[in-house]
Amino acid sequence: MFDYAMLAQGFTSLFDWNLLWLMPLGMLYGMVVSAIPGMSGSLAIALVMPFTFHLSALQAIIFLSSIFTGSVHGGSIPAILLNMPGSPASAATVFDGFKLAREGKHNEAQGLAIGASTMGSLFGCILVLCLLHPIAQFALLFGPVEMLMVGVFALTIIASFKGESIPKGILAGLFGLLLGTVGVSWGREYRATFGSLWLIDGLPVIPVLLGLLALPGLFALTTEQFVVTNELLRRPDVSKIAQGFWESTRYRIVVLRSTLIGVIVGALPAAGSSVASLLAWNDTKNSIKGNKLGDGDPRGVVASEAANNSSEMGSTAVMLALGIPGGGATAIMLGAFLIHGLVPGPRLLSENLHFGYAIFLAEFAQMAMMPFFAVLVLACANYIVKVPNRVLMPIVLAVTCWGVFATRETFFDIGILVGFGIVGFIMQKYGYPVLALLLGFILAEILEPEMIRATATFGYWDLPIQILTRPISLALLVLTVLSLVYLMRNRDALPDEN
Amino acid sequence: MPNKIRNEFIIRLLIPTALMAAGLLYLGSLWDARMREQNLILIQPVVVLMIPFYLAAIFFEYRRYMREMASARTAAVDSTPERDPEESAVQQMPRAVRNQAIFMGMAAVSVVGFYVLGAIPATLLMILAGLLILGVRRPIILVGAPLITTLVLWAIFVEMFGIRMLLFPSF
Repeated sequence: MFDYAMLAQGFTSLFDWNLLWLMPLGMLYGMVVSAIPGMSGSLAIALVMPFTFHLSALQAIIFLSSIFTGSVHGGSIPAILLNMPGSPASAATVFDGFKLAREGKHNEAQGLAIGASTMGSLFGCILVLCLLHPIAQFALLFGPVEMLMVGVFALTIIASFKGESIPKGILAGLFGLLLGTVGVSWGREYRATFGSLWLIDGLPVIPVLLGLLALPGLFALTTEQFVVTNELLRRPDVSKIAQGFWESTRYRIVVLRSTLIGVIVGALPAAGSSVASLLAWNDTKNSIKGNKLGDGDPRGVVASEAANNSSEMGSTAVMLALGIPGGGATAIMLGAFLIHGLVPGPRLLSENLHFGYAIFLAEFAQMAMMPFFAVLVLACANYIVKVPNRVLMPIVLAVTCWGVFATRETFFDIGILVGFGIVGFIMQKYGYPVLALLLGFILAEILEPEMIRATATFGYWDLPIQILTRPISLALLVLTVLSLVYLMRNRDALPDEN
Repeated sequence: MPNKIRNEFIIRLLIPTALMAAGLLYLGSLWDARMREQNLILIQPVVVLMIPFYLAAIFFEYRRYMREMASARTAAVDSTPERDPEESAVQQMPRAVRNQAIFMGMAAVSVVGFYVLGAIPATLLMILAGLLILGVRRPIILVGAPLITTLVLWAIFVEMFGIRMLLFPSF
């Protein structure tokens, strides 16, 4: 399982005084940047890339991975406090986190997020460190048919957001799938770009995500005095954060299941941490009887945060083992490998195994630091709920506009943000779950290319046979059917997240 | 009351119809595309699948409309001249809702502001307008909040991260 000589070499390479300030700095920077709505972890990494030129390869990669770790957690801060996921990875944290904040439990919810992030990363790191090689081999077993079934399985989550009625939820989800296909297709056709260069790559995820999830909530909050109605509950309280942190340890099974989902989905190319957190959230909702997930259940925050943090481990493992990026942040980190003369691919680990071990051992140090830095950031961020909404909302709108602009440096994205904000507000008002629309939009980016690959490889008529005869795709098909049967049987208990 | 219910019913019919129409138009626009099989591999089944759910949503809205009309008629028969204790609260609602609508409109207009005026004037005006719409009247907040927020945003995004943006009008 381990190459102990290489493990020891990796451990000794961490005795570098520069790492003592690079890791905390990276964590803090990642958390603060991704706490700004619109600024994702990949953007945070891309912005500091030029500064890493002067560092050694190990220093640079550990610095960037610290930013990655900090940013995955940082996205949960605005998700809980403002109903605005700081990054797509925190989309599922919004479902329960903001509801808890509205009940005045924002400190506890943040504590839950810190605990789940730390435990998710820790378990994920142990899992990946022990199973680095098998995980990489398992990821290689996922061909287009298996990836297609991952997308289909994830689609069942749409049925769990019913809005006023199930047909409305599914209609919104299907429309989201159509939105996800906008842009230049594989057949080089310009689909619904309306002549705009900014739509060639499709609708950008961050403005759409913030527009659909955050702006309707922001518009709705303008009619209320404060985010937290009860004045006594508005105070930032470190003891309550600690209480939430310890509470998260009660949900060990949820953390373990979500970690496993996070590592596996993170290891799959292009699936990403947003899909991981949504799948973990849905799995928790389906697996626990009498839960209130979607309605302010602490386990929703725990599942989402454990999965998105552990997905970082899965994607880093596959990036190291195969040179395949699992998402935007790892793709940028691959660039850092090249800059420092390391060629990503299967030979990277075989020739520099100590390097891989050093990166994961550094993750343990980051886990230990995470609660302290998270509390430090929260000590400032939690004051947000004390600001009256009529002052806070115009400022948050302005910050979101700048954050959205930063990704592609175009005002066009601000238009998309506001446009989708208004669409999301109207849809919510009339009982359409915007989450279903968003999920469809995210999953279209997996489903369409994998459908094209699968049909190109096996043909239309052989595809069902391939699905039924390949063990992983068959297992995913069975899971999909079971999930749908469960949802149909319990449809009356589904929450109306509007 | 029946007029209000009828108007809402029309809006409720318009939303799924708009989604369905957008889907059909999208599919139609790609019908003659090159490599049609690849271009429509997801779009065609999704649009076809939308049709039954669209009809189900319409049916759901119709049932809701009939139910609400029936209860409105019953309420009209049973109504007494006594004032409802919640009536005053209901009457206060339109102002908040109106402010909300104006705030959303302001957000839409400010997108144009970013293009025309540049990021800094547009942000200053957006925050100032937002504060005024939501009822803030204290001069210190009206001046301080836009100025400080814009300054902090400029320092972080432009100075620290080096993000290039049109800060002032280009004319």
